[in-house]
Amino acid sequence: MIKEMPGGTPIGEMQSSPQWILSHTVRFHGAVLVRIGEGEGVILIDHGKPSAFFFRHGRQVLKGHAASEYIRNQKLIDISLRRYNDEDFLRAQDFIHSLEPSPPQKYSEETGLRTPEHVTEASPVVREMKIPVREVTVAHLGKAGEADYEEESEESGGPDIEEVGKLLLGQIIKLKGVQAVSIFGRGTNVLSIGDVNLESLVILAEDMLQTAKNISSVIDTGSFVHLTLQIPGGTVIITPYYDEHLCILTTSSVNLGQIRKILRDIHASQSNQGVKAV
Amino acid sequence: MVKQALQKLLVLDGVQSAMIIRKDGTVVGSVESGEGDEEQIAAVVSFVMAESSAMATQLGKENLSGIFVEFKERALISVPLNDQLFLVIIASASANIAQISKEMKKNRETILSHL
Repeated sequence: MIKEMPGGTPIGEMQSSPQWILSHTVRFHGAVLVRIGEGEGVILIDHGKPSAFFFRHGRQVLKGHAASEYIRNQKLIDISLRRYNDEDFLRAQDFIHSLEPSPPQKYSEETGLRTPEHVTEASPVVREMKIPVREVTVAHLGKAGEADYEEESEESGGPDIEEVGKLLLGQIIKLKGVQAVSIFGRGTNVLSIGDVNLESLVILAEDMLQTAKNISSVIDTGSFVHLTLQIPGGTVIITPYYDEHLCILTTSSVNLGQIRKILRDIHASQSNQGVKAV
Repeated sequence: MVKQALQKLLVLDGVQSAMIIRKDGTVVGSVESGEGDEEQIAAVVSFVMAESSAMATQLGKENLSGIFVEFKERALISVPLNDQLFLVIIASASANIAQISKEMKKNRETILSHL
């Protein structure tokens, strides 16, 4: 299938982890062709944002979330990068969308693809999310549940607020007084929901976090838990969330105790997964 | 006189140091338990306050009421006294932050009057 993808401009080949690929392609527009054992696949990246995942091993085909999860759980993969112009990108997109996944969407023991039991444990909350955090482009879902990704949703218009309500952001946004919640990291607003678009705060929030954490270099503080800004009419709360950070904007009516309880639950869950707090 | 006013905050349960810093990171007055370099702390806190003010502006708010940074073992609370000065408390993580914050705001005018 790699032969069938548009040629584009070859950038190079290397071996790397999936996390490295996604963090180092923030300005990339093209395809990351992957080889894992006898299988091959592709990650389409639309100006830094992963827009499609596909993997094939023999007759077994994975697409979208399943392919993303499989690729992300590899330690090292062989990749080659091809930069695309808009025309090549559209052709690649059409080609991937024309490939149907093999039903059912699950791993096969025969081909050696990992079963879900072998997949690294993730937070129950993250597992509950139908879309891996990084796969969603700057998806400002808003109250109406808009989304600008396609392959994860079989219905038009993306997930509605009821689905999102099952996710962590949905838990927090439902609290009285919470106006908006965002997951951000490495200068990118990964996923957000609410009445206020928090994308413009991401860069500032990252700078503030770094500076606040510098306090640890001056006095013995232990690991960073959260930063809360009190502004007229509300608060902004920033806290680590796995490899990313959460930003929560509230009105002044919010019960800070509720927010801090959610934050404690998040951090407790991260500790249980063996993730070191930042 | 400033130190006397700050001492009222130092006696609160869990409070480890109290200081007044300028926007440029210089220390105006302080009382502390002797942990950490207050000049360095003031420098870092002034940066955090500047960035926080920028965020408040980005959100369309003119003023920042305060910031609270929580770590596993320490908490830092900073409230503006006026356009140029901040009152900063470092406390243990188990301290009653709400009470400390309330006392900080209650003593603001007293502290300012001594400056």
